[in-house]
Amino acid sequence: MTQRDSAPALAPLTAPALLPYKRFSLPNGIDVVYIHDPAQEVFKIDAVFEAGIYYQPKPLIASTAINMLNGGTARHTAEEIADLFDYYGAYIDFNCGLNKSELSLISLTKYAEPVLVQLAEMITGSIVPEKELDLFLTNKRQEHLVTCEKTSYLARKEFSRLIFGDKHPYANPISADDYLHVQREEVLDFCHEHVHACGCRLMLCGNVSETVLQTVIREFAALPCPKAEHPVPEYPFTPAQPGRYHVTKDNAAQTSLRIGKSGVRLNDPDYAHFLLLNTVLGGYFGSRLMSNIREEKGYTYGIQSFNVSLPQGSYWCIAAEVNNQHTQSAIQETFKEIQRLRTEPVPEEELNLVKNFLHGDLLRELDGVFSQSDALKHKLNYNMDNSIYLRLIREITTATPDDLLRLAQQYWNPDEMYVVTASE
Amino acid sequence: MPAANRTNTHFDTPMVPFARTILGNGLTVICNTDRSTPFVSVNILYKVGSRNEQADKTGFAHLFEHLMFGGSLHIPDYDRHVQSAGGDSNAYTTNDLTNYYITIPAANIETALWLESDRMAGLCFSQHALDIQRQVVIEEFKQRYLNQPYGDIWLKLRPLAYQVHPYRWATIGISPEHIERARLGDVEAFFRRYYAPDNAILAISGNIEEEKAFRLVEKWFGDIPPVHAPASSIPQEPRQTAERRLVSEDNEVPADAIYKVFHMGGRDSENFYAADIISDILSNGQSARLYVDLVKNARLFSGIDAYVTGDMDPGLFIFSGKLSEDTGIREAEEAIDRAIEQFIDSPITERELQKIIHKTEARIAYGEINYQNKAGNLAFFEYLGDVNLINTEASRYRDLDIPKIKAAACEIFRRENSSTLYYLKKNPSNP
Repeated sequence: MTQRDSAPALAPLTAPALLPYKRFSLPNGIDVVYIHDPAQEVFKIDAVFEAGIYYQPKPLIASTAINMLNGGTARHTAEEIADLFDYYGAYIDFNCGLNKSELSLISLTKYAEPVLVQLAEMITGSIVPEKELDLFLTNKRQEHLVTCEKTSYLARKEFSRLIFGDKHPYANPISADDYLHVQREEVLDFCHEHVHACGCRLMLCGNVSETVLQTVIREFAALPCPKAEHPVPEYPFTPAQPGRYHVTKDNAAQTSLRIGKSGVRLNDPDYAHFLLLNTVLGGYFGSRLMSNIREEKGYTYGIQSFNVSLPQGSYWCIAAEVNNQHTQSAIQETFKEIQRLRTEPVPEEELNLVKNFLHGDLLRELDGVFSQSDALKHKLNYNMDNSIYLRLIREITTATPDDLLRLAQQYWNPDEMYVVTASE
Repeated sequence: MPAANRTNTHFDTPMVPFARTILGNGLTVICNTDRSTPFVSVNILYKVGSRNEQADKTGFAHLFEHLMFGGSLHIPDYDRHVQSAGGDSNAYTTNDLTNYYITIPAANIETALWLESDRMAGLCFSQHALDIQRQVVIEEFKQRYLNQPYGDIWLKLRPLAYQVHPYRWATIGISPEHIERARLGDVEAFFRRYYAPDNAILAISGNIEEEKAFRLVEKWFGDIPPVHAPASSIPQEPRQTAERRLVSEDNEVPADAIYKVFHMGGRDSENFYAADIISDILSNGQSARLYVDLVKNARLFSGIDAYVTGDMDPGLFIFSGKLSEDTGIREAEEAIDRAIEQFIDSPITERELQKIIHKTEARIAYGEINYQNKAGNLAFFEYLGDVNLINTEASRYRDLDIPKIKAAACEIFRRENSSTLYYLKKNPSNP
């Protein structure tokens, strides 16, 4: 019979094998970074611009500008552009972030040339036809109205407003009426001012063949780089008073709960240890919050905590959808768990387990060429590369219970936290 | 266009090499070596889903999945061992199956096999775990189905489209009361009946040689006895003979929605592949017919989709649309009916077909990037009856020509084969 009463020996976790990346600049200043893996048949390209919400003159302009890049050029209609990508089985995605905006395209490498030519053309020559703009805004407005029915959205928006201040672009308040007031000229102006070669980075990975590279070099050289640099605007954060806030949503079947405050940025010396501390509290399935509030009490399907590092700031947040009858208990228990981490050292056994989990989790962030490229894209924004993972893993491995205790005391003062509920 | 026109078209699909064996106790084991990752994915599929439930205790297969993490014969704390090994694990339940997977550094694969084999060999049945997981699942029910705009549509649509087959309820169950009803005795009986090596498929993909994987699986699973349970008999849906309609009013949503569904073939039938192509022609991408005609040009919908369920037993072909502000619900339905008529009456162009071929080829290639997908797909295709589909599925699409696609459309899109749901927003004048 197989002996199952003792666990197999565990092999120590290793350092990640970082894939080498190559980097060069186009004459117009575009930064090209790529990781080539000839074993793949697919490649991915992300075109990243310094064109996020942070830079928009009014709500929705940045996301509209990015999403309208497939709205047509002088040479191709929106339908022709969609048809070309569909024909070659390529998928394109538009993402407007707080600071960066990006287009991502994934395609079979053998069809790289036509899809890349089209991609470059739509970025350089977007004309934002009025008809396409109207269609986009009308449908997005309806999508927004649907989103407003979700307590999770209401809680998240309120949390952003509190932590950044309602005037800060990171809070990004949107009303349904905003969709009615976007002008074509504003969108075009935004494209001209922000979607250009300056500050643009192209991330490529997968089978980045010679054809892929030559096509990128040829086609993206046409992207202009404006002479006049726009100064980066500075917006101060104006956070609200910490405390409890409630958003009312009639007939909500659950309560959306957000608890948090400012967090720790990737380039902060405390980052690795904070990541570890956060994992203990709410960063994995066996976390203290999950063990207590889901597995012991059954108040929720899931409760997580996470840290988000942003170029101008950061935040740290606990999120859960909670049984309406047990919301107050869930909040109490959450603060009890925070308090425990501020007063009692994490037992060695638990700490070792979390270290291993987090180490494994970081290895998963670097699992394969596509993941490594995604990780690298994020790190480059902080003038780092994936070698940061070697340092993070080293610091996590050597962290002591006292390190975490000190950090919990420093960063998790309950008096500095916002507690947001959205429900009836 | 006849099939002969398409002989020069090749799905240029790379092979997923794999080896397969069956242990003495009936456990099917499949392994694909993938050196691009330092991890392995260990995927166990149990051939049980919500279609195996009793009509008065729905949601049970999924509730049971939660209990599988509550401790086994020698291991009270499954998760802790996965995490210590640098791994991550989760599971999901569908109408047809329950799937458990662990991603773990290859050097620690034995931890995964130890954990999975111990809970296959015997589970700890705890009243406390059951009480808690009932509550957790009820919160999951609310989070996914009740506290989401349009979240309860499938709870209404399933019992409309199916009258006999257990697909008439969702995996989460008919209602939270059903989940309340689960007893410890049910849990034990369910485990004994379904959680056995001869009712499971173990697929591994990642950084490990096939022989080594097989040797370790034999070591950990070889002694678990089979149950030799009789094959499940699932009540099959009789052919629908009259159209069905349901109007759901007063929903807290900003826009009306319409769902129109038709019965179609099961996942392994030729009809499935034809239906999948039809749904692609209609709605895969912004150059597809429904988007161009109904969203972009007529602007009747803010979004519209056509897709298939991919269930093992005969499934559903679904049209789902969200109406633009000024569109009446009948007008919306007529537009869908017209799109269907046009599909049947007007030609499919060679470019449309070529597009679908490229899309299918690309979709398969994208799916093979990820070894976790590969492990899941290997197990699923084995369950479907032919693990080779991982490499040959493309040919199932290629074998279809336009007459066959049209014939499938005629067979599926019959009025008496349809169920239509009007999902209407709250009327502001009628609070």
